[in-house]
Amino acid sequence: MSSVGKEPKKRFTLKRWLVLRPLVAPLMLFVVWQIVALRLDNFLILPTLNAVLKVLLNPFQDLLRLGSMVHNAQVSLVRVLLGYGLAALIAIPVGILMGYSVHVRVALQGVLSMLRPIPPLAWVPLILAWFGTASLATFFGIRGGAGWVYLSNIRVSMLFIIFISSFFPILINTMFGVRNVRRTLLDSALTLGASQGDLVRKVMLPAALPSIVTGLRGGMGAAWGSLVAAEMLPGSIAGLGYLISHAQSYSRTDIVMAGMIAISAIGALLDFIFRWIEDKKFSWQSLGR
Amino acid sequence: MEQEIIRLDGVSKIFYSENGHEVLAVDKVDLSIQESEFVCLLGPSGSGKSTVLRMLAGLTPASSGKVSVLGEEVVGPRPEASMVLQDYSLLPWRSVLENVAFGLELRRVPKEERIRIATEMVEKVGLGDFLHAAPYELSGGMQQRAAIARALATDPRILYMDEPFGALDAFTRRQMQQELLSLWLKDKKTVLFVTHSVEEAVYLATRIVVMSARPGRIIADFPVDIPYPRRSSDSEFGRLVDELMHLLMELAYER
Repeated sequence: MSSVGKEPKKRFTLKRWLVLRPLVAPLMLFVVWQIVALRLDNFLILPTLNAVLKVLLNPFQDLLRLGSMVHNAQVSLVRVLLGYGLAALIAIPVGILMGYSVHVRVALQGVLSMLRPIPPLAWVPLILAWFGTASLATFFGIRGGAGWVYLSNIRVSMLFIIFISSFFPILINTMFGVRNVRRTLLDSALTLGASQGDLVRKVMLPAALPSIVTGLRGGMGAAWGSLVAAEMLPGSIAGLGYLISHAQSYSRTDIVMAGMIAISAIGALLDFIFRWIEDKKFSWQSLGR
Repeated sequence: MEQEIIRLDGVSKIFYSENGHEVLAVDKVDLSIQESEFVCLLGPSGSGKSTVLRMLAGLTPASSGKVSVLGEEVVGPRPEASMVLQDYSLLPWRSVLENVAFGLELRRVPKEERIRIATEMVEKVGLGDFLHAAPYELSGGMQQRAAIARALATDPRILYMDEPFGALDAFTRRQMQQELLSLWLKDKKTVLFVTHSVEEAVYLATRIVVMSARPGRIIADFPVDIPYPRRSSDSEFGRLVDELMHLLMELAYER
């Protein structure tokens, strides 16, 4: 009896430890990092864990007179959300049209498959030639006041880079989502009396929504990823990307690494939000057929 | 009281395969169905029976000939007909109730009324406890019940069924056949039921129309006079199944 009673208890404690599995790899990474950093003793190549933590744990502290980590993250987020929002605003309707109509698809596919393979960074020289350091303030003709402070920080060229990197994932996923709606769903809706408008609004769109959200998630990842590139463009004076490239020229590798970690954390958080939406709202997709 | 409700006059359907070949799926089919008949369209796969159904339902046009329902040429889905497909095709993001109410919603029936009608239909097919369940929470048989309730909610005069029980296990299948029959016996809506199961056709139909494969042609058409409820152990039932089986076998060897 006692041996029977013991076993489940043993298993239970083992299971409790298993919760810590995801922490093993990061922990090992940190340990190796710290050991190497202490051995190297070269702040320029690899600062110690505690040096980087010190930067991260004081997120409101001014860094290199560029503002705090939080301030720079805010600037970056606003830029990303603007460029990304614009991309979503155009890519979703175009994707729906392309998924719905063969004619639109055939008409647009050529141009899109020409533009898609160009890496966002390869646009930079051209974008600079077009927009230079023009900001949204220049764009809207605002020369002073509170609006200027905000808008002058958002360069058209940056928005373009972020736009172009998030545009295609959103477009492609939306198009495929609409195209891959089960034929029989459309047929049965038609026999029940659906008009073409009903078909789009009540069948295609909801059926494609999970795919659209997946596209939005991929697009967000791409947009956040191209942030650093966008913020390294001339005329940038703030943002996480600018912060780390600037810190590098000051040989502040601790700030560079702290900035990278911040970029990673925010990116992961954004991704997590989309994953949460996917799991929460579209359980019918994975559980159904 | 006999009124012709469905009519096909020399109807053919040609498909174009991807390499541009013409495939004659349905070849000069003539068919007349009276109101309240339960017709089974029986044939091997590739006999164009589903294509006939799709043309009648207004989902695909005939290549030649005339398809008419209630004396009017079919140019698109018609409000007096509903369709049930093999894969249930319930909208997976909607609850059972919302699915059943879908046809009424598309016909702009006010919300309160369509919920009342749909609730009634859902209860009629025995899913009263699953009004707010999602389709993926239901078994195949239950999903098909919901699909039938959805088709009946708009109170159609004609019900097109394209191998509706083909994906179900033998027991559920028989159960569904019984329930469909008892629904049909109540209000005698015209049913055109596509199947490749000889047994199913003999169990259900008042009339069996047999089609051959490629090109799809009608090769036999006869009434089934066995009274309901039918039993597969009845001698008449067995004789008819044998006869049909024999016919289909001959067809297969002729090719």
